[in-house]
Amino acid sequence: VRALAPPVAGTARHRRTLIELLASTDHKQIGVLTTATAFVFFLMGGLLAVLMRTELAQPGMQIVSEDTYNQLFTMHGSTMFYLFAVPAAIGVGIYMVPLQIGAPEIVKPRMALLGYWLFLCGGIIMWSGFLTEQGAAQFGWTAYWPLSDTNATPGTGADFWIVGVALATGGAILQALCLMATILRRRAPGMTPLRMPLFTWSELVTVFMVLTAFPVFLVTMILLYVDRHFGTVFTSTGGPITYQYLFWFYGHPVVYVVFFPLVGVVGEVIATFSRRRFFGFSVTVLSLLLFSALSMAVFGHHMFTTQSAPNNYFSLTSTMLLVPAGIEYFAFIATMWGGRIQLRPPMLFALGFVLLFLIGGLTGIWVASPPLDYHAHDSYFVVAHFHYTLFGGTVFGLFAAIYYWFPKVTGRLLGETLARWHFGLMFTGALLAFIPMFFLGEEGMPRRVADYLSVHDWTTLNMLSSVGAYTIFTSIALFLVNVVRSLRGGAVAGPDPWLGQTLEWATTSPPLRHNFARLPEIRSHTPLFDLRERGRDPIAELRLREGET
Amino acid sequence: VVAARWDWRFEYPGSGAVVQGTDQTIPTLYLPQGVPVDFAGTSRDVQHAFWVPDERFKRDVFANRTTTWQMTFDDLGFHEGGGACAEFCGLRHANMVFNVDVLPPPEFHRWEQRATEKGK
Repeated sequence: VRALAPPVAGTARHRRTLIELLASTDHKQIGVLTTATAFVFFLMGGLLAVLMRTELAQPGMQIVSEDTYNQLFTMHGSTMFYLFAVPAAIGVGIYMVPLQIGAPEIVKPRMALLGYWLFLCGGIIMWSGFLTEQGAAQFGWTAYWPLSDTNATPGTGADFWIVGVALATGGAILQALCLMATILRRRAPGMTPLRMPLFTWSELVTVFMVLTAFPVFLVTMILLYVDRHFGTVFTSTGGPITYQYLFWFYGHPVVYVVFFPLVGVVGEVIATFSRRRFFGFSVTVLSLLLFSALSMAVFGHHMFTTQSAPNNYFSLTSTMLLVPAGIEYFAFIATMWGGRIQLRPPMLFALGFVLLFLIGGLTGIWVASPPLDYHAHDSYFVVAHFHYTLFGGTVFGLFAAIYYWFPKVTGRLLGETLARWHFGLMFTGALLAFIPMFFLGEEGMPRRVADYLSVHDWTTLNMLSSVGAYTIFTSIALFLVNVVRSLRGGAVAGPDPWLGQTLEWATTSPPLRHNFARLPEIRSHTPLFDLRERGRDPIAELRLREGET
Repeated sequence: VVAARWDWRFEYPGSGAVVQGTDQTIPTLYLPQGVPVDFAGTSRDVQHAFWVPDERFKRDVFANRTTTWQMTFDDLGFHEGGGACAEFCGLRHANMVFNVDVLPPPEFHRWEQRATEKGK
């Protein structure tokens, strides 16, 4: 145990002013701001989904017009990607990565703060499209050209969308830069690359993808804006296909950007609640690297039906994704095998992630194979598929992260009974809402439709799916109640409520301003686990009890 | 196949027969049973996609570009709403559907002749 600083005197908590809250250069504050803002956008995007499912429950138009519906699904998808999943995936890293690698700060905290501000402004601008005369953007989260030109989609809402997306993307790039520099330059002594925890590795791989793919997308958005207002960009260069290549070069890696950090979280949660070290750690790290490299080479599978993409090549690369994904699943299961599994809330959500993402991963075979994709593409089958990866994967993984790290961030545990109800309802809802969509797609329902003909007899399946959406909605409401109640009177967590394995548990909850008073020796990717294995108590040795507030 | 927001137009280059949908009526694609049919598709405006779910096949159509495909229809009879635009194309995308009517070849040729004369 190495002392870093004398015990901090006078850590009595004081209520922060708004300026302190919004302009702090503490990476923990920036991380909480980014993640919490992203979560607010998650709630807003979810509300749009509930409206959509209400409209689709029966054939015919009931509650909104087609025009409004097109705004709803565009803003739902855009919000969930650009304003929720990406900032949340990076925001959790901004908070946790310095703690996991024993760093007192992130590199360039002001740049990370600027990243947050760009993201927040982007989100507000995108949503203010609803206040304009023609409403918010209505060309899907993909904004395919020429649907997104001023002929097909006139109006300020579409411009707001482009500007908002560009700002949020710029913000993500800045935060990713800070995160990468922190991981590469600020590791504690002894923290060699292969001693970094799995979550930190997953964030490192994620920021590689952000820094490769996002700048291309930022330029694409600028080109799209220029095309709308200052003359033709895409007409002169091959048009729709060029736009699609540019978009999907970003659009596929981004689904791994919002997925990998949660793979890291789930891996650590599974190891912690199985009371074992993560099985096959270095192979899993290697598989993440392979996964991210491949993710740059699969984007053409979104274009199988255009007759303009080399289908065989992209089918091969997309199918190869099964190899790294399989390695990760093997490692998850092998970690649990023979472990003493404790079904605490983070573990429940981690298991939900493993089961539901499996559905998403396996149905990916349909869209990776051109003959099957010719049917599944742009149908509800695809909608179901990516909701199992993004909802089953990202959202379940994020809730695993929230239940796991909430005590670290706030000092209090989330209530366990409500957590179980939350999990039960959300898991049931995820099956009920999205399984019917596989059948709807198979039977021929296209995606992004406000209505369908009653001759098709799709009403029962659509109704089931809508009931599933309400179930998810209810579960999220329970979660919010739980957060409010736990913040007020939840059980005090202490520094290490779960017997954690990594460095973030070697400090107070919430952590000190500069994170650590002392650090334990780092001999592996699980320093606290190592100490306990030798019969030592890291919390007592670090003299953490006295620092608690 | 010519797609335009938010309608379909089916031209039969062999005979000159044409089927065109309107805002009020859904067009019907008439086809001979069991014969491979060559399609060439284009769009008047944004990208659309020609999808016949029963045949488990779709292909995108673009402006200023022709995409081609071949399909064989075995399932005899009239399929209401048997085809749809699968690529979101704006306001009334959800209404951009068509019927599919698969006829025995002799009956198809009689239809084609009638449609050609009506066209003139």
